[in-house]
Amino acid sequence: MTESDETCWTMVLAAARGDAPARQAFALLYMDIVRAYLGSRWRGRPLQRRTEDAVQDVFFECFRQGGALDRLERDGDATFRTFLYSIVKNVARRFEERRGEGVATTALGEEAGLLPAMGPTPSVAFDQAWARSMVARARERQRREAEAAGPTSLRRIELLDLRLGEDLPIREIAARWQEDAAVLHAEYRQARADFQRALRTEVSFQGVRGEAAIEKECLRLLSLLGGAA
Amino acid sequence: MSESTPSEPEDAWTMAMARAWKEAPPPSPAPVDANERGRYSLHEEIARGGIGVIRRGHDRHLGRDVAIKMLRAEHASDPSLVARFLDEAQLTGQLQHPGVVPIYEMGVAGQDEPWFAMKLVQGQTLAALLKARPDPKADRFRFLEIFEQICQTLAYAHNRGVIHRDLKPANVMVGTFGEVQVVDWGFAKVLGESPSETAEPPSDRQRIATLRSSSGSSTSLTGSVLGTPSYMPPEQARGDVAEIDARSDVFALGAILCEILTGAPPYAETSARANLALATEGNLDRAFARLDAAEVDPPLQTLARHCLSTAREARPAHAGDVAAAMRAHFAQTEERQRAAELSAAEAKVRELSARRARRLTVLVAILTVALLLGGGAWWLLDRLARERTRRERATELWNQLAEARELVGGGSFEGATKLLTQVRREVELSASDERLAASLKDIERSLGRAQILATEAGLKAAREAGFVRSVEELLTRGGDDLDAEDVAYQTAFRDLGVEVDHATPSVVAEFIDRLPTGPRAAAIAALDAWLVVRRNRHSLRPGPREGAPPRESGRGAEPPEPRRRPDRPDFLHLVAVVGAVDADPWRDRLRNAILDEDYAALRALATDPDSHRASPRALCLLATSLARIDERTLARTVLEAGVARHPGDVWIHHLLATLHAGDLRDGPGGLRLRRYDPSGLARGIEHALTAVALAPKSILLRKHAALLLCLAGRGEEAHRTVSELALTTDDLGLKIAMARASLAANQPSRARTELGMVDGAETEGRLSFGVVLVDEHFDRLPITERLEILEGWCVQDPSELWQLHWARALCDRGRFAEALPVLRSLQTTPWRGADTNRYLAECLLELGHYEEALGTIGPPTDPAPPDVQRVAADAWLLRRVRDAGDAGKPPRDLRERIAWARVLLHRGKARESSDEFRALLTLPEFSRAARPTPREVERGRPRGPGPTAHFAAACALAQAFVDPAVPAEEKSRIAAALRFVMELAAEEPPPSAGPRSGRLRTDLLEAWFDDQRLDPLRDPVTSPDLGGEEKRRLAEAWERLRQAQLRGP
Repeated sequence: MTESDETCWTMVLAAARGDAPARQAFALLYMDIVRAYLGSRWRGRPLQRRTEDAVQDVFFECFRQGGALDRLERDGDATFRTFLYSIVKNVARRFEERRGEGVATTALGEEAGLLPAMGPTPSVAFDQAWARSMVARARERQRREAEAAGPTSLRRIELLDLRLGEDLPIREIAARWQEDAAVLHAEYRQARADFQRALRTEVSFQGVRGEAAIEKECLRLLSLLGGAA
Repeated sequence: MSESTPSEPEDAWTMAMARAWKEAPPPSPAPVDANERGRYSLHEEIARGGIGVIRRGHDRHLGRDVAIKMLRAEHASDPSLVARFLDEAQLTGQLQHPGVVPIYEMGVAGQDEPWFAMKLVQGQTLAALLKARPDPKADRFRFLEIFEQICQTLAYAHNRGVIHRDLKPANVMVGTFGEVQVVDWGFAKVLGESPSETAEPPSDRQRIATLRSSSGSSTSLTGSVLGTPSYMPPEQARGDVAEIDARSDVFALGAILCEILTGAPPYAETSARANLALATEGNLDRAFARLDAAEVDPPLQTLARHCLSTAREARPAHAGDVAAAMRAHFAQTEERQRAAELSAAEAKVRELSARRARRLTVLVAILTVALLLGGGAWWLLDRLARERTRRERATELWNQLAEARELVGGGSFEGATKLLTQVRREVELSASDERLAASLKDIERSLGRAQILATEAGLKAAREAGFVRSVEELLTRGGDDLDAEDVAYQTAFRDLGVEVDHATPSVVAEFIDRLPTGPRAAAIAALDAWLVVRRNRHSLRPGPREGAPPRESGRGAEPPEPRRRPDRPDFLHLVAVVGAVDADPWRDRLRNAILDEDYAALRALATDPDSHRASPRALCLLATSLARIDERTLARTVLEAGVARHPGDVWIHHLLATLHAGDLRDGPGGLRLRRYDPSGLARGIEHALTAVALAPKSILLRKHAALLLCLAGRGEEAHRTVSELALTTDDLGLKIAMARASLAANQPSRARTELGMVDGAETEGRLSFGVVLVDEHFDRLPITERLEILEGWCVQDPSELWQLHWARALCDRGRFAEALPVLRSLQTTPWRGADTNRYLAECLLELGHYEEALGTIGPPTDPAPPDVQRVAADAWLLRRVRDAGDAGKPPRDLRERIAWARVLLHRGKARESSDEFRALLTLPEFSRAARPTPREVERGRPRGPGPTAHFAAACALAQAFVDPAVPAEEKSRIAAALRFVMELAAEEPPPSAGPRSGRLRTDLLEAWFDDQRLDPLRDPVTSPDLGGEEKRRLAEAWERLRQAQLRGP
């Protein structure tokens, strides 16, 4: 199976079958997202100390036989994000019930324990972490592809980093590199297109189907970052 | 993002990318703990190079600071850089020379993040020292000495077949004690067998080997340029790898010498590219011109030129040759100085002999010459004066050295260093007294040794103090997470320097035995507590823990079944450790009683005559254990007896305070009390304040005392207890305690200011602010203040939580129309729930939407909290009365009449409503306060209709008062009724029945000024008809309310 044929489900199913590299890749990809959700939900509460245990539980829940994954295969059409979100939420609730901590008590005095809502809400934290992970993976993918393509492509990534990461205008980069600004503008355009392609691939990997849906999801992910959410 | 050109429009994608870019860097390749490498914990970054980062590390086993060099994450995937990095570690590790930083250990984090630990050199780079010189002549001798040591180090490396390839002042560290070390061997290379690579190949015995050199591969490819252009020989600048050998380092040595002599390296252009171009050409014209212009000894000039030869064959073949040349230079200089001194001495002797022989003649001659040539006499006298000054100066220097020696002995290192620096400067300037120089060097060495010893002692003391603090915190924390507590004890001991779980009991015992008394006592107490934690961790049934709900005690209560001791190895090991560390028989009995849950034995120990010799810590352990089995009285007795024997023990007092007033629990909003006992508060405060007096720097004790003082209403005293420390430390809990104290002292604005200081800590500060706001104090704030605070918070942080509080406060203020949309929007969030619904329903009720209110809150028969049921009943009543009224059925009783008046008010029929309320005011059962005093209740006086009814009456009357259709004579009657209602409200007893009653009172008081519906009455422009007398009486009623409020309970 080529990479383009793969979706995250391929990886998740392989991980569920016990494939160690797939499990490691899965953990790398989603661990921070799960942690962000739980951290936000339990911030300021005693349960915060159990975050790592809960992260483990989420992964266990994803892979265990007869668990959420089996049920999901019957449903079929959910995106992985929805699947993961529902598992994290259930695991969090289970931990809370086990400790006798309610989820959203609204009596005035009890809200002290729910002050995490002062930061991003757990769902926003989850979405932001998800977006961060997807964009970061897209950047990594773009870099890998550029490394394979050669120095010109790598230079484009450097250009993108200087332009977007360091906020340097193209004309200043051109002066630094002693290059023609018009040429760099063209390369910058190409670099953006490379990144967009990489991000679309990542989004498609997560099970989003259809050009319009992928485009919409890409823009949504980007808008969740950089304080634009 | 500022640039936008016509050819480059910023589309939606680009703008979104620009915002997101910095927040989502590409993932690092391996998930490793960012702050751990092997047995080292990582701290701040010290330096950063092309491929590596150096951070300060701490060796937990040996308790020393080290430098940890790591490959930068972005290079981890580059095999050539990884190999180069590993080479550096191996190569540096094999160079055993005082001029090379020793390597302690190397390892790999995660899958492919290599690192190595090396000695942490405290000092500055040669580059920094050179830069700090006022001019190139300053301290030249010292820098030449440093240069000679660099040459020695390089000579050693060259002898072992290693060339550095990136030698420059920035890669030379000069330590605090003058030690010189060449660092960053990242570009170093082991020379191969090829004759072209080295002029003098080293013998095999001396050869350095690395993985790369032994595999025969080389990461330096022909054509690649490594190093720093300003110090680079032409062959290296050209990337001609085959040509690079020891002579390339010699060029770099020449470049450093050039910088020492002239103040700049050979190639000193502003850009690296320009320097590289000059280096490639070997264009040294400017450097040589600078050397010629510098006032330096010709041999040094020659040596620098020789090293900087463009043709490598023309340079010295080896750094050893340069070192030899430097030694020769020093010897020559010394020789010259000695010769000068000798000739000066000879001249002096000759002159003195002549003076003795021809004393009279000379005297006459001098007089004659003085008369004739006054200038000559002046010269001679001046000469003599100079000689005397020199001798005096030498004596002074010897005195200074003696003083410095005394300062070193007394531990005053700073003073000693200052004195020695002065002496060194003088010695270098005169360079004449060898004995003085030798003595100076000797004292400098003593100073170095003494400083190292003092630093080690200081570190040890700091570790021990940190351990005592950690133990105190652990002993008072008592959380529910036993795993975390177990790890915390492990960590505390590891930080102290002993791995309790991995060392044998005798090793641990020996270690703890060597500790000073305080840390030793803390260690024993910690081991005892840890034993209990570990036992509970492994037990099937959670044991009785401090702070847990008390079991039934006394007669009839079933004693719980004792648990078996766990047979887990880690528990048994800890038992053995504790036995080895502390073999006291009484404490052994105590431990066994605790571990076996032998409650009878515990009680027996409490009355055991031997307990009089128990240590305070052991008594605390016994008392804590007794408290856990709910023998709090017995525990107090043990400690009261203990306090008589150990009146100065902090922890006995602290524990007594908790046993009297309640157990301490820590939470996000600071300390709280469990099992609070108001009857023991006074005694608790006494002991808590004594503990503070005994340990005034303890944050925990101050927070504890402040908490108890707040509970006793002694807010200002509580504030004094914590404020000083809160202002000088970063402890968030302490700052919260200070703000709480201000609130308890009825100083809300001060509390806000104090929390504002915390606000700098962004989220955490806001969190604590929120915690204080939503706890009981916030409810006691006047509604105006609450609204003001919440309005600000909603603007700063539009989260749902603050929206909810804001909406509630709006309702409390009567601004229902504003609150309604906010409460409706919350219905789609996790904040929907019974309490939010109640507020929404109240809002709907007051706006006359009874059906919707009932739909929101459900019928009054549903099981719901009393507040919800009350609102539901109210909605139901209002709807029923409205329907009945519309059907022409009059209200049947007082309740229905009030409801009908409210319906009229909700319908905007203020005049009719006020008529109804005025009629009601004639009834005695309406015209009495809502909450009768206890004595009135005893006398059988029924409660009034409540502030809600009075409030509604006031609103209706006020609205009718401003109705232009109402005739003037009726207005005066309405104003009288309004005044009467206000006076009724003022009759409410002070808010002694709890915060709710106080709050209602406050609300009514505030509403008189702030409720929008009363605006027309307050506004003198729209209420010109209000008579002077009514105004006065209204004002009086308000004042009475205000005074009652100020008096408080």
